[in-house]
Amino acid sequence: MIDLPLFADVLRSEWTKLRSVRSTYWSILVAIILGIGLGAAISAGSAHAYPQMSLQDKLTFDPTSTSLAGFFFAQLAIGVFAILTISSEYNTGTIRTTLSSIPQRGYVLAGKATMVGLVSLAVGLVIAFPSFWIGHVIFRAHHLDVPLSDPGVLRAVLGSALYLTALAMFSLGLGAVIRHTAGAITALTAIAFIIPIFSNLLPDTWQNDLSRYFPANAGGAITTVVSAPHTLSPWAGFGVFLIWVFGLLAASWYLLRHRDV
Amino acid sequence: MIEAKGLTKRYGDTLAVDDLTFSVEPGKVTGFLGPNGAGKSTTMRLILGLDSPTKGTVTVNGTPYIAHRRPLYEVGALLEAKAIHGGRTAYNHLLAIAQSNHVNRKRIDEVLDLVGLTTVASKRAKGFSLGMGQRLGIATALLADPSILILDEPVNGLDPEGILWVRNLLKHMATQGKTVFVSSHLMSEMALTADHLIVIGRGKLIADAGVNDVIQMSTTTHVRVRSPQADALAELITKREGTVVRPADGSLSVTGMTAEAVGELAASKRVVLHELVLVQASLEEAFMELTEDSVDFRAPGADAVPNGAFPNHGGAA
Repeated sequence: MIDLPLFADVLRSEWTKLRSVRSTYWSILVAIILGIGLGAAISAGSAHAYPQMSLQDKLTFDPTSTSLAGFFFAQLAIGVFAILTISSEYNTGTIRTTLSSIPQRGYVLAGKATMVGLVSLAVGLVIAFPSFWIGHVIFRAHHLDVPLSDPGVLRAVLGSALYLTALAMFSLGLGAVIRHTAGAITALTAIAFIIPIFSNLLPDTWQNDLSRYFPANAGGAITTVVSAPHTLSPWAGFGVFLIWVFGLLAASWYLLRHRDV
Repeated sequence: MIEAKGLTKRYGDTLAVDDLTFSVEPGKVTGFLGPNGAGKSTTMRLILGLDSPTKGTVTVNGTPYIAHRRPLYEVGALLEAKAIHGGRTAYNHLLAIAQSNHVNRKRIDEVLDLVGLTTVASKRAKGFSLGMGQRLGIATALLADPSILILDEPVNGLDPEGILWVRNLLKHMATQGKTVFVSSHLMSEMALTADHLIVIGRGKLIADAGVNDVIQMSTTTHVRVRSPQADALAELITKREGTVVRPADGSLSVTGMTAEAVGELAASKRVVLHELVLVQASLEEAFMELTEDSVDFRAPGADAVPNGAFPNHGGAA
């Protein structure tokens, strides 16, 4: 029977690592600025363009998810933050110190995932509520505002923070599997940015059957109040995203346990 | 105490560590010698559970490394200098490691003081020299005051004062009863620091013996004799099963007999001697000779020991 280290010690150690490098503060600052700033800009642009929209677009216009549109950009900064928590250890060689301090490698991954998750959830909430209120103020001027008490609105606002949290853990998994900063960021960019954009170009039947199960497409459903066509329902979509996240973390756990460092 | 039994590590087609069996005892400094690429660093990673062996086992204090709870209290290791995030301060680097094993924060100040980095404790490691990186790595190894120290090339990048400091530190740790396992390619340094040597080449054990015994294994240890009756003396020695080589300077170079035996033989046959001296091989020479067949990367013309001049001592342990 192997005695396991106290998980609290692992968490304290990982917290010290997070707070003691500048890249943490930079990526969080960039995430907040992009998240709130671009959310406000996109809300203002949409409100301005609303009168010229087609009837179809007007009917499906989603002020809540528009106010939260900055998350699409904030996710890259948070993804980089999450990737760096593990890829920088491979870069600098500190992974060998870390894994010889805590040979139960699953604990290292769980500790990193917990810290990355908590920080990302906090950042997500810091972006979500101001973004919603700024959007609310902008849309009120155009009589497009929806109150937080409307069905699905609070769920979308909180859901954005949950999406960011899950995406950060997904990114950590990418970093743990790929072990190189640049490679993991490339993979993240492809999965979170390029695939969602290009899946719109796929033939309709593919799109309906396949692309709504892609990680970012599935996860994004929870940030909307008015469901776009051919997307999963909010919680089903988030569930599918979580399957991706924990599938990738399970793969990285397996590889971390079995690979030499 | 470190014990390896049949330890083997294969990377693809390369056998990096080949059936190593040895033990590293407490209370002395054990040097780990071998040419570049001999498998020293791989062996150390296997001891620390960072790489898993293809075959065989290795234990520290009787248990596989990865089965230790809070292993930093058992083993402190320095694997590479400057294995530190450049943006992190020396203090925070040590703090994160200390927290992972529940080591008292007071130890951080103590080890920083011990390695002489107190004044740069709050500086980002980016600006550290290689020597400062080595000192921080040694501080990391000493953090939880472990009973075993494993250090890979700890004097690399240190100035002479730093080298002397490491040498004294290692000896001091050994006198405290700790197990000190230190690799180096600097034979002269090991001659001054180590009590015991484990020599490997191409992943294989070549020697596992005291420093003096390793020197004795060398055939470059010989008795030099000069005599006006050199031919007669050479004949006498050869009859007594000594081996004589006659360098161009007119002396006789005798192996297989002690200086005393040569002197007594000469006296009994009334042969005049002008010189009789035991020429000890240096550890450097002994090492070159032991590993000459197992050097992976040799510069052309770097043959310090002529090929074929000496018997192969593979497996001399």
